[in-house]
Amino acid sequence: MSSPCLRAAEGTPFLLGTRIRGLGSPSGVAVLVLVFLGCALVAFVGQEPVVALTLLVGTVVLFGLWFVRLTSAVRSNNDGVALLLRGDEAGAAGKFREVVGQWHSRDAVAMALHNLGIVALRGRDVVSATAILRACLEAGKTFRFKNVPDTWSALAHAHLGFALAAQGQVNEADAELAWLRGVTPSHLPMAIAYASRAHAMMAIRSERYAEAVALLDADKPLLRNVLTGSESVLAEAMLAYALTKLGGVYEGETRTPDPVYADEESRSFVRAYLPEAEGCLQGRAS
Amino acid sequence: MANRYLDGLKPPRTLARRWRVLVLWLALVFFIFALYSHSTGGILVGLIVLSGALVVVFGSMRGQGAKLRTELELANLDRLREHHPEAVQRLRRLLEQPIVPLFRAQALLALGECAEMSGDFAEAADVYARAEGVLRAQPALAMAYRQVLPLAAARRAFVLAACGWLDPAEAALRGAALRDAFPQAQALASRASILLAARRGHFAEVREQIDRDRALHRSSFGYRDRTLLRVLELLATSRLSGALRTADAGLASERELRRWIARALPDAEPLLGVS
Repeated sequence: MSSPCLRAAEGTPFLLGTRIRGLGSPSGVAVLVLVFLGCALVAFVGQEPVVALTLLVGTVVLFGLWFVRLTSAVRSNNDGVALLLRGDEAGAAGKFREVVGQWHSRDAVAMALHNLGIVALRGRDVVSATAILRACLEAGKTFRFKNVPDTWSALAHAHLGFALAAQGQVNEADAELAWLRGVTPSHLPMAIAYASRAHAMMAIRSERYAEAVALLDADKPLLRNVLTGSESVLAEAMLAYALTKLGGVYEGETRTPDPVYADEESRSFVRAYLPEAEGCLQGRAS
Repeated sequence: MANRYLDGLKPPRTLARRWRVLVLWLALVFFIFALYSHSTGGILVGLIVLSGALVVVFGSMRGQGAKLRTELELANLDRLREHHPEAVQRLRRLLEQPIVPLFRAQALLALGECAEMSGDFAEAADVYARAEGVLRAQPALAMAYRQVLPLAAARRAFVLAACGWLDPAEAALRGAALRDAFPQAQALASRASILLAARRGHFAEVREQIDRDRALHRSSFGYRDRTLLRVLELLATSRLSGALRTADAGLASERELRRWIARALPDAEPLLGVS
């Protein structure tokens, strides 16, 4: 794979110059297996048993190789996510880099790039996150059957929309989120939650505070169930900030923002993405 | 025991799947007869018929697969939006379809989560056990089995502990540690283990586990479980120090959440002010 956006991602501190690779997709492998089997059948009918057997063995080897590579990619990604959940961001990045730098299916590479983008977002490096998430979208552009969901692209568009909105690039963010409007409305609840947060951030950056409150109110249970750690504190801080900017009056009624409790890590996260909202945070008695 | 999440489910309508098997068999039989006709034209017609049958069968499976996946995603969206009756209705409809075992297990897992989030812990345990049963019966799906099974086991351990059935909860927890488990399973197992320790009155262990897995909980859980763990920590601190600590002011407006926590952890009621 080669393109300017992949090169940009390879230049970030999270990839350390690792060359992004990627070959084929699960749907492509399925088609190839069917074609090989069809050819084996035709050879058998044409009374060419050696050719038929060679094709059959070739198919089994192809499928076996693909399965082994897929298992290894899924394991590395799972190990990386487990490390990330335990707060070991450097270790997690190493695992994801491992997948990105080896020959895996493009879906597996997209998954690793998406996860690496999350590491960058958590590390408050929005510029690197933007480059890596764009590379994830590039890697995800591959042949797939209609019923194989493009999960990583959906999530990457939502995160990219948020990262761009946080940098004040509202129009670019809107363009990213438009992709999600074009796919099945049910497409992955988590992507919908992240997109909702990105829309709220866009509204805040455009000083449309009432719209931000409406968006965050409408999806409150979804955001509370999906967002974790500092991300959930940021969403609460966004709501509190928007209400403060509205002077505590929303739709003609007085509304006091709920207290937003934040530890030092969450405070630093809020400071990186919406520094204006830091004043809405409160410490929590231990 | 009656279970309103599972009771009254109609058995899957397998006819939809059977017509495909029938079409494939007929096409294959036709093709074999064509082979024995020893005429190039006959074999060609046989191949065309077989290819046509394959295209029709796989095409219809593809269309149906996309539709069922959409239904599962919509049910999950309803669940996360806390529209539980709608989610349960969708999932029950889905479970009445002839779906592949992994998909069935995922639908049961989502149904169990609806029951768990509604505080119906005993019913949730039953639903999770059913999901585990579906997965355990599928040795061919080794990787998928190892990924999803620990999620069901860890969730079942939690709801069993919430019901006060501590020994079965501990047994279920042992099934939550598998090499290829989705990473979320570790956090769910930790949550179940902490609740189990609290229900047994081992508060020093509760504090120790919460301190050890703090980063994991922080990165894995939404507000409901984070609040529960916060309350568990307060309860453990209260019990160990002998001084009652009360929950944050932020919980005052969360009536449903306070009730949910009190059902899972009755000892925490004085901290929550549940009426």
